[in-house]
Amino acid sequence: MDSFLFVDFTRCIACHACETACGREHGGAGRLYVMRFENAAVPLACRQCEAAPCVAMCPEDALVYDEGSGVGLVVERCTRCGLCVAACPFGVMRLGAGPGGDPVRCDRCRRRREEGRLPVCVLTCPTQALSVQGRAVVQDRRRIHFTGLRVS
Amino acid sequence: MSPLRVRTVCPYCAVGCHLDLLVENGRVVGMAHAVDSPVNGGNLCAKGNAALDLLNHPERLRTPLRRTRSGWEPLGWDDALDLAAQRIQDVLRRHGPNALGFLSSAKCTNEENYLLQKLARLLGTNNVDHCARLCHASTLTGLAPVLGTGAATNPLTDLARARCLLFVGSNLAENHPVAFRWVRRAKDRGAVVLVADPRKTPTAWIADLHLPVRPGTDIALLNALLHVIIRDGLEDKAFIRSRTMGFQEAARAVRDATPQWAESVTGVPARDITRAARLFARSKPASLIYCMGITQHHNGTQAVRACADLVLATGNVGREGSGLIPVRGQDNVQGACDMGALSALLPGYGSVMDPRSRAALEALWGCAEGTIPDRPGLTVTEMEAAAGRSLRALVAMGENPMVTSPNGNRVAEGLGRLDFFLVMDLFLTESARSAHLVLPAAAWAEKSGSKTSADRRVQWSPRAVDPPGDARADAWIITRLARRLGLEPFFPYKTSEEVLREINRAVPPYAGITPERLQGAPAGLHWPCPQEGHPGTAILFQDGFPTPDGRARFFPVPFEPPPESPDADYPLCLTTGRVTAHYNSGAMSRRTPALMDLSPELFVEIHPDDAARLGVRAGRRVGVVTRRGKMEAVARVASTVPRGVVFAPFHFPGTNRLTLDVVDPEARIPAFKAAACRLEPVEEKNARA
Ligand code: SF4
Ligand code: SF4
Ligand code: SF4
Repeated sequence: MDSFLFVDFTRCIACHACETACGREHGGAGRLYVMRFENAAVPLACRQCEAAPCVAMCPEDALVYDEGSGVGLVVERCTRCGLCVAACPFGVMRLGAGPGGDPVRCDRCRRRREEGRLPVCVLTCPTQALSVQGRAVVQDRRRIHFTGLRVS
Repeated sequence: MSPLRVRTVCPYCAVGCHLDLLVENGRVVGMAHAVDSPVNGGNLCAKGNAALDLLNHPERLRTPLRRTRSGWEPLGWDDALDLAAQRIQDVLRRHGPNALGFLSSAKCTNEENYLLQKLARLLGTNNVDHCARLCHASTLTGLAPVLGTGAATNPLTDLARARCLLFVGSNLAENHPVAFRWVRRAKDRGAVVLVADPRKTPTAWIADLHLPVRPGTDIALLNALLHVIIRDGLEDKAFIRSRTMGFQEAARAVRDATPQWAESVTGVPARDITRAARLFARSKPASLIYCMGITQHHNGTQAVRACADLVLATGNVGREGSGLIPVRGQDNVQGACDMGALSALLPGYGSVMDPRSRAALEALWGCAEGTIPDRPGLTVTEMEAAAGRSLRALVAMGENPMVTSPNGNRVAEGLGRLDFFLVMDLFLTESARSAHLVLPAAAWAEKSGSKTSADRRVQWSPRAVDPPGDARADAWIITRLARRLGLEPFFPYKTSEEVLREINRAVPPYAGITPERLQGAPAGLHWPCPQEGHPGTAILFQDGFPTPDGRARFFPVPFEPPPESPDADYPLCLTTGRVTAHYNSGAMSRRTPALMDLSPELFVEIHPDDAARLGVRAGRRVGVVTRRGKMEAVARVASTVPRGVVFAPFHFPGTNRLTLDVVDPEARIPAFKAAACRLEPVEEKNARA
């Protein structure tokens, strides 16, 4: 897979717009979690792990990794046991509200993507802290950040 | 059939973001990001994203309601308006026009504000005012004699072009998040960001230098900055010579304001003050952005002038990327001021005491000479104080003084003593609950009209859907009420467009902002726009200042300590502000689930050292007490507030029961930003975990 939701947390101002927009787009609460600290904020969302713990843990094979689109859910197979929620190391998988709520996490606005549109969080973010990027760009930026942060 | 896309202007703040509504069969079915908008490029903050929740909200008022002994009784519009007219006439007959008060609204359109002040003045009173009194009145009184106009000098988009941005008492990132896109852009281009704020806010996160100034001591800091600039010879001598007056006096006034002195007053290290002053003076163009951290003080007017002095001394006026930017709060607070919804100013800022301004307006309205009283009316705070005494009836359009005004207990008592209290609002707000008659109003997308954002950008926001139930636009309500009060000939309007055409004639800077032009202008028009065909004025004062001699004036600003300093009984300083998820009194945002999830309750921020000393535990309820009242809030322990200071947001009922109602002598704005307080443990039995 080569399309990631890239989070540049040095730009984030903790405005929670992404979270609210996500909730509006998908119904219910947002699937992005803005963690606010005293000197910075980090928006957390599904990393689309290649060797995804949630996929590995799912006893019903309801979660599957697809090379083209990342982790996806086969709704009919899901028993809502919640193991995936426990497995996610980032805490960004949760069971949807109400009885029978499916596991929910960021799917990078799959429906919009299929229509060739950007995810709503990316559109709404006032500081361009969020963007959709390929793996190479993501890695590159991460390195720059890491070293940049240390140097300054 | 795909839904119709209607571009509206966000109902929350004065950034004026575009927000596209998707309408199908007369209902809003969704929202889209206005990616091609020159204002916000599709960005929206959390509130803008959640704005749809206001339409068809289950708690929206759908019918007029009258208070009876047995509770609220619904009634039809004819009965409701007859009742209102009769009660207002009773008061008029018995006590005269100055027993009437009108609270206009920065959440309503220009047309609605214009109509309400017209109604008040035709009834013979200048008792019309609105919440600008509580946020930026000091900007008007402070800047009028300095620059000739009390408004942002440059558009918000210009922030991206600044080489240096100095924020004083403004938490732009949290309160106007979409405007921060321009700040971020400036920073990407290498601009220096300086932030003076007691707290380490998200605005301060990207600062090159954060100056944690003690609440209420901003003037000392600003004076010291000017001191360093002059001492080091960094002032813009050519600009000062050719375009200003009074520099020598201002320079003399800051001669003793050394960084060392300022350090002792403000708590900001002298070295940082010197550095900030040099950066600000050397990085041109520079902008100074201020907000309620400056205006909401007992000396707010003076603090505003101290900001202006700094901008003038460095020649940062009249060019791209520079300027003085007071960030107005409400979506239309600039417009409500422009429309004369102020007790001492007529539409277009003519003084009520100026016979020519009055005569011009009376001629336009076609009313008898002398109809408009020649003395300023009561301000918001004065109306509240006079309520139930000399003021017998109050009409409030979309205002919630019980939550927004200082010393809230006193306000509630006053409102309770009124002979007649009429409220028009979307919801049964805290204030509406004590009204005799409540009229259901339309929300932003349910009516059309113009609004003016923080940077004087006038935009048209069209009606996309019908209001719920029997709710009506405020303009409709005012017009019908006025007709019942015998003012039929003065209120012939059928549409907002007709009202705007009258505004074109009443307010000179709006003369060229006709409905036709505005509806076809994707970026709106910046006033002043003095005639048809004029492109509007994005940047003010490029050639001269609208003062008698065309020059700006320096004002020497003395520093005085805040009226209430911490003492043995009240050892901490309480300061107030906003959180990103909420809006002002919370009447809208506290009813929006997505926003309540983000910020569900009243909290008070306290430094870890103070918390440890006082035994305050994070997440527990704690009592906050001032000389005026007490509230309970959840403690948040964080070193983002300095020692000795506690911070509480004002969106929840409670905070403004504690704040100080001492007012600035010129702007008559209350000193919300600094009050002495103490923390008290809350009895365990009524404590909630
Ligand atoms: S839900 Fe968690 S574990 Fe699963 S792919 Fe996303 S980040 Fe990885
Ligand atoms: S919208 Fe952008 S700036 Fe706001 S919280 Fe999300 S990532 Fe951060
Ligand atoms: S920044 Fe202001 S105008 Fe823009 S979406 Fe947020 S509340 Fe609305």
